[in-house]
Amino acid sequence: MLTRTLLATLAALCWCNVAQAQNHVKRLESGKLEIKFAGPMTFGADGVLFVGDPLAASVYAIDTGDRTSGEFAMDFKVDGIDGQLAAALGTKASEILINDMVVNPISGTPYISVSRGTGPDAAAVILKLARDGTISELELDNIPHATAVLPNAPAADSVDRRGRSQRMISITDIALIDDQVVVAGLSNEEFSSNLRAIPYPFDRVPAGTALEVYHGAHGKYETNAPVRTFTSITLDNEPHLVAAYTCTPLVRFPLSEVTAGEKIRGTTVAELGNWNSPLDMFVYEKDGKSFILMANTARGMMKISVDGMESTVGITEPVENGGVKGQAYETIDTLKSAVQLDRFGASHAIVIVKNEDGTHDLRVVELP
Amino acid sequence: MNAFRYRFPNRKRNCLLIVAGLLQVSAATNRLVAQVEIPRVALQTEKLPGQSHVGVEVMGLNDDELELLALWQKEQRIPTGILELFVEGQTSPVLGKVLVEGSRVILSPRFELQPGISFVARFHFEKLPTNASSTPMEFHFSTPALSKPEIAARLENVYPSSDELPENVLRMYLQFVTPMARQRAYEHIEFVDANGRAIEEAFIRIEQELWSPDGRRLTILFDPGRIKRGLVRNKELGAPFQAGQTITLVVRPGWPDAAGVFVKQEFRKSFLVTEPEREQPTIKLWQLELPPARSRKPLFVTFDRPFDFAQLQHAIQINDQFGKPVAGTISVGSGETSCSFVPDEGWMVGEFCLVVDPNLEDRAGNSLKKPFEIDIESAAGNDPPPVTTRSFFIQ
Repeated sequence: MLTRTLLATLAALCWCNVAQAQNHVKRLESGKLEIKFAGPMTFGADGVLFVGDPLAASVYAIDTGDRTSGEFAMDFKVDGIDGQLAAALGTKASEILINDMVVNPISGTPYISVSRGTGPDAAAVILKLARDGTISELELDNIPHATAVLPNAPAADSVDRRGRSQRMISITDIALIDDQVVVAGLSNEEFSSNLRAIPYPFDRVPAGTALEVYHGAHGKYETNAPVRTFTSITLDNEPHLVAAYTCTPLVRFPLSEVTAGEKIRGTTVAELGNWNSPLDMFVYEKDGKSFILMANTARGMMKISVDGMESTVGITEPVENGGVKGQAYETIDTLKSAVQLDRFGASHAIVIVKNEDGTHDLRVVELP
Repeated sequence: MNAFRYRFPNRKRNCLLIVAGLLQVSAATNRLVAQVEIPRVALQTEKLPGQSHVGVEVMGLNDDELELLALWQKEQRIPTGILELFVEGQTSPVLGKVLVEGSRVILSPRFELQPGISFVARFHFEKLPTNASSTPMEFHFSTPALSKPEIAARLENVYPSSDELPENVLRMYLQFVTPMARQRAYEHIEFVDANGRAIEEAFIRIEQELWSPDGRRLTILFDPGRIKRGLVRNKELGAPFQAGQTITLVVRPGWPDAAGVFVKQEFRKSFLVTEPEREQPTIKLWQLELPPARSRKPLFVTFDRPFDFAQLQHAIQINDQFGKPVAGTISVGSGETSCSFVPDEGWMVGEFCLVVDPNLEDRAGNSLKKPFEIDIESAAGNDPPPVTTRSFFIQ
């Protein structure tokens, strides 16, 4: 999804992070990787791709070996990208699901996680898109990788009468923040925050921490809800996590608290109005200022100002009359129909937009 | 029957080739001549050992061509795209590997070719140095459509199964007969009021959709922003449903299952909306009806309220006096207000324990551990841990 390149950017800022990343790559072991469902993805430094697999309740770190600097071609465009991806898989557009798209920040190559089929037995595939539109597969038969099983994954004894567990944590977002792979999930059964931090490399600790995060108090009630999407941002020289919830508010947490693994209370920095459910977000800079670009189900693409976010005291009272409160934002109409996006270089984003006839196009747009 | 036309200059003849028959018509005399082995592209009739899926093959190449191709294969330098396969109308070739096997060149696709769609295969003669043709040999074909599955796609059950729902209901489950196609749910589901008007934004749309691993059960999550008091959405829109109202779930036909079979029947289920459920449940209020010892009669447990159907499947177990789970089967009663437990072997005389997962939630998301909404003024944060066990004696 959107978040991800930020992490690589953070890592690139610091030599020790790069050195650390190279060390991580060395610790991945070659072998066959079997993915059940290729869901949300993010790139770490040094061409390592992290992939969330909700069906296997796992996160994979995969060394793509894709470390050659590339040029970010601003005229990159593929009409009918869904039909083309499907064709490469020997089928038609209605028989695939496009689950996520991320760009390798080093090479500029988009990676797209796809289900070949629409049901539970669909095959998981990760496809790469070359500059000329050529589609190839990230082959997993013998690739350096590591696997982390998500903490609080459905227990083997949590089965129904047919002996099968029907509980599943759908992974809604994933990001590498410092040395933590942070995964947001949504359960198909119980209602909880399902935000987890897994230390990377995975061999250090077998399971991460389940985080219980509250988006502060609203009026009289304290609210715990699933985080849908999040990103990291430096506020007041301290790394923070900014999360958007199933019920819309935008909330910040100091990263130091997130990794502590205890009950966390965040500060609500914006209420973004009604008719909205967040999908994905990333941070970028333009004209010396930082913004968050956030995709939504119904309210289109929001460009949210980060100005003063570090000192926002928090919204604790309901916002009346349909108003919005907190950080200012504007809606970017030109990106309204984007269903996938990621950063594409410093000043652009690559998007998959849904056309009125149901087909999808891939194109590069300037960041607003 | 599939037919194609190609030029083959080095053999100095033009041919109309009928794939199935290998019949060659002389351009000069228009007479039928003897059967000659000439190149042709066809759908493989069966896959070779080591091949995952049936692909296309080129046959009828001459010995020189085959020798060269075998050498290229050995040196891993078969020209890229010498044999390509496309879905008709698309420009991205089907992913796969080109193999030279005996007298055939094969494109082995990465995935099974989708049944019931049209493809075109192209063999690029121009990539063979023995040929001067610039025209690839084409073969158009359609894969056979799948036969109709025996089980029709259908919505089987809806949970909560009762005809009443609390105003702050948190989720609903749709149970289907067959695994369903993903990313199609929200175009088919709607809630309408007593006048048939759509209730907008009642539930949240999650692009991944919340399916069970077997693809047969969809979770509909009602917007927690509207259910929770004090949040913006609740202030603006109120709860999606109001006590006293009758609402109807409408599941429209045309929803495909994973095999591409469409749900034919519209499904409707009406609910009377009741007052919100905000109190935390407790198993202290549950009633146990004990079976006699040395029988396999069920233990009946009647709850203080309806609970979440899905969680009930695995949230309750019976332990023996040593804390070991008793093997048996739990069945959820009607309206999710009770359950029964039948042991695999007869009940022994002795003490047993009903053990309940503290995360078990009622229909509004209140769990044994905590209420869905935490009232800051009354919650001091040091509530005693919830009671999750009940001992009983079988005699």
